[in-house]
Amino acid sequence: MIEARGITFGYDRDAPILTDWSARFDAGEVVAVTGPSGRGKSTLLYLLGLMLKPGDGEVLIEGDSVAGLGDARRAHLRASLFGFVFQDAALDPTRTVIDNVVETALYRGEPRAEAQGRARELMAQFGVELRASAKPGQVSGGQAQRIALCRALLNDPRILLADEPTGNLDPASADIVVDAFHAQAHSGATVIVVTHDPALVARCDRRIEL
Amino acid sequence: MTGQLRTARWLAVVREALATSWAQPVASIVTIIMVAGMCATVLLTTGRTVGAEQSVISSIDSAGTRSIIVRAEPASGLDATVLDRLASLDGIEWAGAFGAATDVQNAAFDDATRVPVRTVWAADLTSIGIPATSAIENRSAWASAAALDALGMPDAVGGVTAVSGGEYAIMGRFDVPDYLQFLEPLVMIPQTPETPGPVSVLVVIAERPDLVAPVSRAVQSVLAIDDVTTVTISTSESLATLRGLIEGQLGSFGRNLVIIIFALTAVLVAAILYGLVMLRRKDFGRRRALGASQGLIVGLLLTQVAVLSAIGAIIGCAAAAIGLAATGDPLPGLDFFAAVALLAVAVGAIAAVIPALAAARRDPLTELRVP
Repeated sequence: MIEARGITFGYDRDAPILTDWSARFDAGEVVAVTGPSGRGKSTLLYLLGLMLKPGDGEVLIEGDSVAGLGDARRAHLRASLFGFVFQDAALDPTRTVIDNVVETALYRGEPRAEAQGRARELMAQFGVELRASAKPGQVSGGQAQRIALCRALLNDPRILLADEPTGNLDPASADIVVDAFHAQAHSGATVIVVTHDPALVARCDRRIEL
Repeated sequence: MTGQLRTARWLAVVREALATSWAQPVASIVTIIMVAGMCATVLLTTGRTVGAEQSVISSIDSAGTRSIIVRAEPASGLDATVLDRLASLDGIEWAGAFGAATDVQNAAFDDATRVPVRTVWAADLTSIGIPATSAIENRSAWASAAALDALGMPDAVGGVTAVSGGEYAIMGRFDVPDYLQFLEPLVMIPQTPETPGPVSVLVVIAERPDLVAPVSRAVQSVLAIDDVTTVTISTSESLATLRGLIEGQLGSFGRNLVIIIFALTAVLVAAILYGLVMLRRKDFGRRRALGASQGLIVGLLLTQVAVLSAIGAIIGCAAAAIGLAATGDPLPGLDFFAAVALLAVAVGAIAAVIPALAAARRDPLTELRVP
């Protein structure tokens, strides 16, 4: 469970994107965050993902405020509790697919060999196991997003955050991604998806409009 | 975190730094070339100067920069007890007192070449290859290669007869140090402190060239002679001064040059790294978003640059050594090469600090939106 309590944030102090905004996201649900461009959907996701700090208010994880945590602790929480899926997959083009999937193991301090074993299982589950040695530039957009999904699920995250995850995908690939979100939610995770995709919104448990 | 876990984490960071370097060959090669160029430039300029300086200093030192030579007439009354008084002085590395020279010749021939022989007193004869105690008191002699050659004793075995009477057994050969070359060819008869005799030549070696002048004055004060006109003291003071000037001026020139070259290269390395960080800002933004702490980002970049700098330093040092050897220039010592290499790695790492901090502070949201 993750909660935003009275958060205010803006890149320009005089024009905040979010003002005294509160919401609670429970475990086991897939929540869509929608709204016109520029309303702060992605910013909200990055605030909930501990990448940004609100000017006012606080973010609580399992009821505990993270407001007072330093960078190292926030980074460790990101690596261990969270999973992130970005719109363009955000893979490192210079490294192999398997290297990309296990990248977060380094940040968690997890042995690479253990992470690789789990990564191969996930890649097999999402049908990209044969691309393990390829570079991201050698895979399709749908495959790249599935690889990014493997990376996000590697640590079995309790909170999964996705920013326009199906924006560049064909319907079949989008279905695979959304199915994975629901599977993760059924295992007790909280899934928050920022999207403009009506099909994806329709498959979410709840919708929050900004 | 336990020590084992910390080591495992550190190794994982090193592995990631190496993998990142390997995955970005252009950036890595540019960094290696910069550092290699820095090392080669330092070694081919300052290193060449240091090599020449060491060569010149070595030549001056071999000429006896630190020696003080006292020549005493028989009327001076100078005897070997002066060594006891010298023992109480600081700044003296070695002192030896030599009696007046008399001639000896090979006892096996009637009309053999004559060679000068001298009695010698010294607290430390072993440093010039003569045992501390002789088997036959006052009848054992040691000869230099030149003296043995003149005596016709290539195997350093035999006896010699003094023109003034008395026979001595040649016990072996000794190597004449630079500061005793003026006594060549030399046959020495070691004496014990218990039997002090008259001294005609006193040789004192100061610990350092800059101590020659004060030690010389101190030696003069402990000679205990009544008539100062019966002794002459010659020192290498002017040579020592010249040595100091060469060392000071060339050393200062070299140090300044090293500082300038390292500073310029550090700025260039920092600028290149900053440019590379800007090009990789999306990479750092992704890493930050996925859970890399600022400290880890800084550690990754510094480790990466340190490894690349070490490779560059090795290549640069090797290239400079080959270049210096090919042109026949004197090589600076291994310690100089090691110091330049270590300094290059340190400069590379220091130059990477600002770019690394800039990388660590990238805003993930902004960077991930960079197309």
